[in-house]
Amino acid sequence: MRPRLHQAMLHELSAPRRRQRIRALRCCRGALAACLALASATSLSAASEPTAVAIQPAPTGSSVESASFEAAPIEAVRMGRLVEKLKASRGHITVLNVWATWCKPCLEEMPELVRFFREYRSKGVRFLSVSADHPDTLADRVRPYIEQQRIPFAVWVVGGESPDELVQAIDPRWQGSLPATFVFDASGARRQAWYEAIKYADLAGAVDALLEDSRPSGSITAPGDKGSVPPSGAAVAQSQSDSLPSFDAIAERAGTLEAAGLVLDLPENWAEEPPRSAMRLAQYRLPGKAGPAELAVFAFGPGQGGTPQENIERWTNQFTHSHEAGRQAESNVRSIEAGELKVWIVQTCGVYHPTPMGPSQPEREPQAGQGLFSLIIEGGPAGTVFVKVIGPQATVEAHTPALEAFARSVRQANDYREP
Amino acid sequence: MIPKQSPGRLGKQALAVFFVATIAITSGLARAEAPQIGDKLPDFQLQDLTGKSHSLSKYAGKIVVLNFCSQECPWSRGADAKINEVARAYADKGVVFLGIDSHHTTPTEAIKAHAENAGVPYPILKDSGNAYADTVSAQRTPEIFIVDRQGKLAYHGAFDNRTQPGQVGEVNYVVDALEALLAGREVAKPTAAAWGCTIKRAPRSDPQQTSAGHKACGPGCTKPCCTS
Repeated sequence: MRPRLHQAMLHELSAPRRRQRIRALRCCRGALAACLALASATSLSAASEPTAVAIQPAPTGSSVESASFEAAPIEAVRMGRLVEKLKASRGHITVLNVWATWCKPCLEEMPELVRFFREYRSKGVRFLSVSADHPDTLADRVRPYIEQQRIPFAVWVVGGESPDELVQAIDPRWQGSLPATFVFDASGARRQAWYEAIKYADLAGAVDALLEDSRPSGSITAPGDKGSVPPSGAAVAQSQSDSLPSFDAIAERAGTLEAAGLVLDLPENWAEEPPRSAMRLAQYRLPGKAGPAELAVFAFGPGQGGTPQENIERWTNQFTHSHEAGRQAESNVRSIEAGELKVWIVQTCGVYHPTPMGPSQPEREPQAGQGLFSLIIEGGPAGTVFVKVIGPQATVEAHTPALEAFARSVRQANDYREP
Repeated sequence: MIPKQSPGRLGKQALAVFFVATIAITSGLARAEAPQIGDKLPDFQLQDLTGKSHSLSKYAGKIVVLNFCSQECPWSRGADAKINEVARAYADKGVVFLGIDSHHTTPTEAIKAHAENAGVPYPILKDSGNAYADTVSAQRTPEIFIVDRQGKLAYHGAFDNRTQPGQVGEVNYVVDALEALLAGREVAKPTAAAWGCTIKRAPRSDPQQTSAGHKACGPGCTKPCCTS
């Protein structure tokens, strides 16, 4: 099972770097040095997260809660990424709530949603909170609200664009009114929609009915009886039969990752997560019996982020040999051409020594039995893109064929525009 | 093996199924389906804030802009200044602007105070019990319906393409539609989605949507219990 690892062929990396078109990047404006520092500090906290819910963990016990509350990740994303994210949630019952800080009924229903999230996250139900606030107001309005209200779930801020793409993908009747809440079954079909503030009991009832449906055996449900629960008092609520298409059948860019002007095909079982830091363009969880691995995508703009050689050296230096303390682990470095793009593939495994999160941050414990699979993609319109996967060695190895195919699928986005 | 998605191929088929399914489902609800572009917009009989009665048929032969608005909604309030400006500019060209407030929770006095304060130059009609909002399936504020000289729906959707409540959008869908109608052209973009506030509707007594069966069961109940 274990792939053969070769000594790093770092001399290959002295080839001149490609001339890159100068374009701005949609994330990571400024703070390039900080980006770089963080790029080398990928942590493994994902390993301890519940596998059912692809959302940053929040404490569940109320006593622990007040002591260790961490602000939920908040990220401004393009509408297309949100639609992709919905698609990536297929296989799980998913609740999508759209709100904004300027929408009073939205704020009134928030405690109901927080309660729902806390009670259903362990049942394999995904919760997507989407803010229609403008990304320009993220720091001044959205984040203070999230922190003040101690919102435990991740929030995706999409208000820089009209809701058109989301409306087309999930519900042409909706048109963007807030608040709005949608329930999708595991096939991705929309089963409930509320275009008004909802109550915990209504949402829980609808989701319970779907959970009941999804039980493999012993169900007393007649075939074809989807029996979704009519929500109470919802003026425009509707039930949906599952003959409706799932959003992934409609979304044009389903199953792809788009970052910094590049497009890559995603395998089915990688779950997109809210990026743990603002420096990350995207983040995915790669499931595995030994625990999930985490894939993070970084880009810092043209000419930024260091040379491939510098990055490969830094990454491989984080791994020592499994049986000989202090000896650098063997690694395998190669490159492939994909049109105008050049992709470096870096693999290693052994004891992982995570870099401290910052200069004044504490040392982090080394972790045995870890694997690394990383890509450095040169030649894109917005500079070099870095993809870094770290996780239990068995998990990374199990995903290696998928990662290879992912690497080979890279191409330039047709419609990339300077943000 | 990488599962390849082929959404494009499925798209048209899926949309067709979607269309049929949506009709089937919504027909089961008491609520009317939204009028389509080109449909004759249903008439109304509503009073403005001074008690004067207005109907769509009263303005037959004119281009009419209906603005579902709410003084409670920052998104609607934020658009008022620009809508006022457009309403004034097109009044001279014979275009009728009417506001419709369907918010169940907003008293007429509050609407009146806001209209005076914001200098709204056109009548605002109080849609008691959100009856007309239900008839035309209006959902949010602001939401615009433009009726052409034949009384047919020519535009339905956002006022402009703003992405923040107080912003003025670069593209003004209403102005574009009015220019087209006045010039006898077809409206290039007859619908546009936008963020906005959901219209707060009066509680319904539709038996299909009451909570009796549901609440009796509570969370965790089995499905046959809830649906029986």
